[in-house]
Amino acid sequence: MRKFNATRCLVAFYLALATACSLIATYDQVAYEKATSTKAEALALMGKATGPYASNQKEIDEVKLDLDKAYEYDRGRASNTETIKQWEILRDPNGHLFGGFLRRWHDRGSLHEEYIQEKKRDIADAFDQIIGLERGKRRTTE
Amino acid sequence: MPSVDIDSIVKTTLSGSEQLAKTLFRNYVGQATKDVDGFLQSAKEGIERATQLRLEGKIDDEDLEDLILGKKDLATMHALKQAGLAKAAVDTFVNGVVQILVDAVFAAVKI
Repeated sequence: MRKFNATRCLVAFYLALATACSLIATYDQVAYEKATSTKAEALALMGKATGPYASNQKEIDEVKLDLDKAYEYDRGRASNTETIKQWEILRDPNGHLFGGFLRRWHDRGSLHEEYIQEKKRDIADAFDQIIGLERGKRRTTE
Repeated sequence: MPSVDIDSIVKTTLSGSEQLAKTLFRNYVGQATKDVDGFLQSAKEGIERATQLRLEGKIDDEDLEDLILGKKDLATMHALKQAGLAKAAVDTFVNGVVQILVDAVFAAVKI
């Protein structure tokens, strides 16, 4: 009986070790939904960039706020380095994805239709990388 | 007093782990390769389209430069996803091995 208990303790120890040593956060439904909804908002907003930035200021601020919320939510999760870095690249105003798009729209007042259509493909793909990583994370029931 | 055959538990765990690793990491490598190929093809087509738009005067030099530099940011986004998925695969493997070990232990102590 003592040997059996010792074995059980050993198994429990390995289980605890495996849980504690996770390399990356597990799947989070809220994070997934935030990423998919902000993707839809961002792409819809981009379609309006042929018009003046100032005329769309309210909606721009709303989308930026939702992106900030999604980023902060992921930033609060442990072992989530890759996803946090992805949000930072996507939002960076000095970069060439969504943050950079908004900066260019702001600086130039409005943008070319053809440029917007091309950029939308890249921004959609960028969001898909965040969404794809979240979807690929281990479910806690696995 | 009943005893537990530790050698048998280890053998079962190693065998199960080997099979799990083969399946799990083969799937991961296959998906990662497919993702990289897809990105490279998509980036190539995107640069071709952007260059054509510039030649037609539908976008300016700054637009073209931004579209090309955007591919670099996008490549980093893809790389980060793959790095994260690799970590998730390792986590899944570790948890799988622990589960195989637990099953082997309880099978061995079952009377």
